Amino acid sequence: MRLTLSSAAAPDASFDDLLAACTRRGFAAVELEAGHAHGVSPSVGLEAASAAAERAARAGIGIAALRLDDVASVTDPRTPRLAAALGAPVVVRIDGDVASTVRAAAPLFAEAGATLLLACSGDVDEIGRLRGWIEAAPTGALGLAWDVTPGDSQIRVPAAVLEAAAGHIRHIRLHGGGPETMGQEGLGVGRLMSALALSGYTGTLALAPSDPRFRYAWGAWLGRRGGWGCGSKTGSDTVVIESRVEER
Amino acid sequence: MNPGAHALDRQINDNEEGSVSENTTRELDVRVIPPREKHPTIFQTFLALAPGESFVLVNDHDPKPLRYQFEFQYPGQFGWEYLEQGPTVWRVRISRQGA
Repeated sequence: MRLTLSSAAAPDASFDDLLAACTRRGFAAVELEAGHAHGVSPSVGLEAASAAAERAARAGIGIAALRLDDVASVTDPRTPRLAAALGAPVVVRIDGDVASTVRAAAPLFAEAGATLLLACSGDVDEIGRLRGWIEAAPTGALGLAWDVTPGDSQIRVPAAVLEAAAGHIRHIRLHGGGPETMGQEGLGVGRLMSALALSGYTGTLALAPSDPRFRYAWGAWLGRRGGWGCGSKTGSDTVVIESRVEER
Repeated sequence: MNPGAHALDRQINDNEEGSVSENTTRELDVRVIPPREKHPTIFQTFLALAPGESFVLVNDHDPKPLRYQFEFQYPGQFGWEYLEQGPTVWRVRISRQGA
């Protein structure tokens, strides 16, 4: 399992500052949420995405996933190409009836050699439905992500969730950890981690704030001092990835 | 829902002994676990191992006090091998010895 820092913990941090925060806190990888100051989004050019992946690799940090809010963007052929250039799967939250969108996206991801991860809350019935989509798609095109909220019903039975997912879970986002760890006693985090260990889970586990009001605490925990980096940098130049819309 | 899954949940909950799938690298990262739950979780995971099985404990400091606790509670029943020793991350392979 690779412990991962979500950019949701530091949405105003540049890409390089996220990498530095990962190194300081011993994270193996970073989860990038589109729209944050790291600048990686579907509108970024492939060269810039490849360069970002190389910078991360040089820092010894993996890119665990690119998380998108807009499910419809996965049928844009640029999205799977971007994922391939980053060397990371795309994660989208599955809400509502998006079967046709996912069906259309799967061959695009397969063709690009990338993976689309369908994020769910861990409800076993929902996982059963998503497994059907995954297993009907080209091999490797689709997978599962699990968004875990400490204290919810799914985290109480983690082994049941893992069993239902049948090895398709590749990425987990845990809302909490980091500076929130002390306040999450009795909410099932220990059971989750034990179940992941015993099941041999080898995917990524990204930590993200459980609530935006904890962002200040996360910033301090990650080493933010006035600005990111050494402390002398202001927030004005935080977007470091060149934004460029590719021709289709 | 698969009854086996419930069995594992009970196993974790009730500290029962048992085994799970083999030939995988089991990694228990306790950095995200609330402090007071860390040691109970580690021991529950240890007790869920079959003899000869192991897991890798990941922590943000040297878990020496844990080792002392293992020596007191499970003398001769565990193996302890450092795989990484800081400065940011410590990894220890903890194995369950044969009966």
